[in-house]
Amino acid sequence: MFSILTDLLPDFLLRYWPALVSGALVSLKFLAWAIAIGFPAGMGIAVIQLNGPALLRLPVIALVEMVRNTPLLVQLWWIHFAIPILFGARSSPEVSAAIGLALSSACYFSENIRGGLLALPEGQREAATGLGIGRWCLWTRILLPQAIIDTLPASANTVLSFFKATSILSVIAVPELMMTAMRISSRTADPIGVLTTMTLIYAVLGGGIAFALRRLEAALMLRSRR
Amino acid sequence: MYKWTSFVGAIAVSVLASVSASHAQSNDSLTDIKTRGTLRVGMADSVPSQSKNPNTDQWEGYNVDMAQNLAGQLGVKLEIVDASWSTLIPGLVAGQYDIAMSDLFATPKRAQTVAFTNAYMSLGFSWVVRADFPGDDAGKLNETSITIANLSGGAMGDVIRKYAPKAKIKEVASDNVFSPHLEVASGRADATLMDHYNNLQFLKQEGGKKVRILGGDVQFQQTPMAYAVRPGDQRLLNFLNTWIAYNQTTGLSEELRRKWYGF
Amino acid sequence: MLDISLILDAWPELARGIATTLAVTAASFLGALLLGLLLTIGRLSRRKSLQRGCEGYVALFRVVPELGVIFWSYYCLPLLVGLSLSEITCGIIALTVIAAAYVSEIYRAGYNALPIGQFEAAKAIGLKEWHAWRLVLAPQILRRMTPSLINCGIDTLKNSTLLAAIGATELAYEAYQIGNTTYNYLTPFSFVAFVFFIVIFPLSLIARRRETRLQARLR
Repeated sequence: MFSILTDLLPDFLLRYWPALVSGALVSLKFLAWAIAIGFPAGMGIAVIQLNGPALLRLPVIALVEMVRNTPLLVQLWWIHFAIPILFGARSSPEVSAAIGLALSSACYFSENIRGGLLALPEGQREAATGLGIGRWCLWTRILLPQAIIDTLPASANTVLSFFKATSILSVIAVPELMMTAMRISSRTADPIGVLTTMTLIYAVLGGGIAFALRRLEAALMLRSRR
Repeated sequence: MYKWTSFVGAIAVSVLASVSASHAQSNDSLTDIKTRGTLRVGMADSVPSQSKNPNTDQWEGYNVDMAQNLAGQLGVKLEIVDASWSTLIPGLVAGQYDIAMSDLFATPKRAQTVAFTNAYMSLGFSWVVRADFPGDDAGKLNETSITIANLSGGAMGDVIRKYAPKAKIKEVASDNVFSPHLEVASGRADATLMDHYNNLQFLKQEGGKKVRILGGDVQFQQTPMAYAVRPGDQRLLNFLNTWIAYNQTTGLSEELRRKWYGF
Repeated sequence: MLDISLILDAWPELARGIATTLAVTAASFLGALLLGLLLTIGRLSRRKSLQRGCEGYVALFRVVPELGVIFWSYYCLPLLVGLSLSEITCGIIALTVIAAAYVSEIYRAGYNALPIGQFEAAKAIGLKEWHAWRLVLAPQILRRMTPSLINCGIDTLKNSTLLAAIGATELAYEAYQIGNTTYNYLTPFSFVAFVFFIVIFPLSLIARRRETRLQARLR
């Protein structure tokens, strides 16, 4: 059993480790993008779903349902080909991936935040209205911060699942870790070794991200209690 | 209420998406390329034909050199657009590039979606079998007890069906060309058919000890490979066919084949 | 570009693909419900080694991409155990071990939310232990876990599309087959999206409604 593992390691690692590093960096870059765009957009979507005008609310709900009820693989594929047709502009794999990932993560984050908003006591809104606090202030200073803090564990799960989902970007040829591993494996004809190494890299990076998220969660929870 | 409205919304979005997908393309790319000053070529990874070097992030291979020559002949710049094997042709049809220059096997079914050029090269096939497969007779593969792995989509499936109609064919859908070899190495299949070059590559590896090439070094069929353009793009297609024939006359094709394939 | 005749021509294969997708999902999810229970028991055990091992398992499968696990169970697992396993079996194993990590998280959250005070109260007013579990605790815990479990089942269903990469003949695989032979990928891929929407939408509505009702109750 161990001979299999030791046989796997050499050769391609020596030759292609820079590629694996840059592939991992691309994966992390797309994850950062999915959070940076998806999280604020998710907040907006959650508020619109709960409190927006009907004209805006219905398409947003339809979008969230479409995204959550179909596989990301198929969505990415569609976006990659719908963009040039709808807007007449060409789209590189990176651009399509960025749009697809942000759209998808926004919908998933919005579901977390919406759940948090629903769980807040009704009385808060009434009290705020009674005190003459404006709607903008009510949502941005009172309701959203509480909902975000309350649903941090769910959002941490969403971040981790999008870290894994970056591997699906390989279907439209984004040079992230999975795609890089595939490229190396077809050059070295050693798929098992390359895929095992790739899985280990994901495990280590993901473990680091999970750890960082727990620390962040603890820090934010502590601050909110003060 | 919620259920009903979101359902209607979802239907509306999907109808919009499918209607807009029937948008038409320009059908004179040759003029477009000249006015644009750039030749856009779509490529999907396949060693040694065309692949992105993971370390340098640059495309290299037979078809990359060919594409450079093509751009030179047209007097324009070359832009290579990354694709995967499942986005290569849809990307061409959607107008993201002018030509798909990858080692495509032309089949009549596929030719209903794209227009293929004449063959630019042909590649010999060989059988890879389990190391303990008895003898060197390919006729033994035509048995109901035999399972043959096939990389889905290529021309190999039809060739396998012709030579071993009785055998069970197991289609593998993957961007990894060595998936069928792994099927044989792990004992899930008895044989696979692949181009000789890739077979030799796999034999050099760890998993290669569990397989062998039937009959040693025998390549038994030459299969032509072609480039693809959008259907109706007749001027570009004519130009490409002339260019391919010209390259065979000047010896460029042979020179590049030696450089990348080693024969 | 959408060509319905492709779907009609390949209908027997596609129908078989849908059946396989549903069967693989059901088998994996049931397996995950059981394995997840074992993991949760292990995580709550007093034996430190067992506890750490199970925590490690959950932490690992939360961060490793599904495709990596699927490849591994297909190419490496048979070498390790010395058995030749079919692609469907390997696929079910992979999806089960992934989903079990999530199921275990859901179970543990349910366990942590056990209203122990109510249990004591039920016993104090004379209910037998079994009755206290069945009538007081179990309904509350199940109600709390159902939406999350439905969502986990939906994720398993979506993950089953990745099994195409190892040649398991599920729906996405059949879609790739059509695309690879005709070069028309838009039609089969859209069909896959359509089927998934039809299957998942009612499930996610149920989960959503239960969640809302639960929130209202807990408020």
